[in-house]
Amino acid sequence: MLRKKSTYVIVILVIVLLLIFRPYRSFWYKISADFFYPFFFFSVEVKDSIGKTAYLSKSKLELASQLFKMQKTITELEARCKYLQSFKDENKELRQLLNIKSIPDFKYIIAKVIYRDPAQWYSQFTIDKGADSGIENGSIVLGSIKSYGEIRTQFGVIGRIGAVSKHTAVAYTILSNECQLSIKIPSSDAAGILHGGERYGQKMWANIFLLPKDLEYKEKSIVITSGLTPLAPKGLIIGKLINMSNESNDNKLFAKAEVEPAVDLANLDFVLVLGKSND
Amino acid sequence: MIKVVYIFLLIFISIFTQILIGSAGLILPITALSIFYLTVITNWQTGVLTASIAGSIVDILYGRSVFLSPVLLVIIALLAILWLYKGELKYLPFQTIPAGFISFIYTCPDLLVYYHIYEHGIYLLLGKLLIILMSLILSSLVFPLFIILMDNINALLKLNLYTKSQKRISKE
Repeated sequence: MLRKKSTYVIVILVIVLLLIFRPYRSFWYKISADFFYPFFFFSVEVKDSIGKTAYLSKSKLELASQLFKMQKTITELEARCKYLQSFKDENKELRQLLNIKSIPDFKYIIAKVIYRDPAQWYSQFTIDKGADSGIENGSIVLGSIKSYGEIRTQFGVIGRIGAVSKHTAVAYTILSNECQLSIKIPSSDAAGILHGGERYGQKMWANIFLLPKDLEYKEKSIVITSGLTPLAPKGLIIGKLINMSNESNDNKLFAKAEVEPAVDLANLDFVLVLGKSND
Repeated sequence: MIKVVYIFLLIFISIFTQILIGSAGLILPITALSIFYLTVITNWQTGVLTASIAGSIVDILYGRSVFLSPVLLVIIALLAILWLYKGELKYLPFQTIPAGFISFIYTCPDLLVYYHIYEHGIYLLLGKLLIILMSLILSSLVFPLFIILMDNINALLKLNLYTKSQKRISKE
């Protein structure tokens, strides 16, 4: 009887250790996430189809005018894309002539948020695209922002991908300790490392470490990606500087700062993931 | 074989439902309630084994870096044994008591550890307490209904019933 019980305890311990031991986690994530994926996908599809019924309440005239507007926007964007493509080709050619390493190209993968952790709502979420769509560990996740200062942009950094299965991926936001990113503050010409964040009341911020202490920093300065990571292109907006810690700590070389995220992390339905382009 | 498939389906549906409801910002610890139910109708070994696996799967699916769920679910499985021997299983309204405890044990550590590390201020603390309270109320309401549903299914499958588990234990 005692032998049977101790066998049980050993089996339980082995299983738990195998499941929680960090190197094995990605393996178990792949298995369990892909197993659950069809069911979550189905539930999201049902939710979407219910949402789509809202269109039925609109008149045909209203829908037609919206369609016309959308077509106009698509045409404008296509024209802008073609125009930018010519610059891209030219840039590539010039870089080749000067023997400079070419800038990596990215593809944009649209993904739906399929579920979120209620205990860590602002730190992580799971999306419905994975390795099959070209997403890999460390890929940058973007979300839409309306306008940001003088720079006109539509997307800001939400975080990075931390675990990938065939069909799903876990994204860690810039408030999570699992997300690290090299950043730049163009107004001060400073570079630092973004790592983890905090919340106080309605406010939330991500922490920037290793900023040179001898430089001057202005509040509300834009914080962007530095482009040092191969998976993150340069110049993506992260947020704006809200606080510099000027406490008299022992560290004489580096300062710490806080950045307010540009994207509303509370409400995320769709995100864009930057995947490496095969071109 | 039926028992294994039954446990697998129960845990699978529980995890799926819990995650689905969790996406709405609510914590309804259905997996914890299932573990409690399962431990009562089977034995502590099955309860603890299922608790550790189910807890790990929940944390893996969420991508959590700290694995608290397996530990909390094992505690809940042990609580089920205590309730089986010292509690009252026959009367369904009494089952709101363990349901409240289960919810408290399962939601509190997760939320408060996260609050302690990343969040500050009374406003967010009150928010967390509200989520815990909501979870407590929901669990207390859902658990008796869950027992009725599962006992009906178990009767069809000729498996042990939750409400008759104390009788079964005294016979053994």
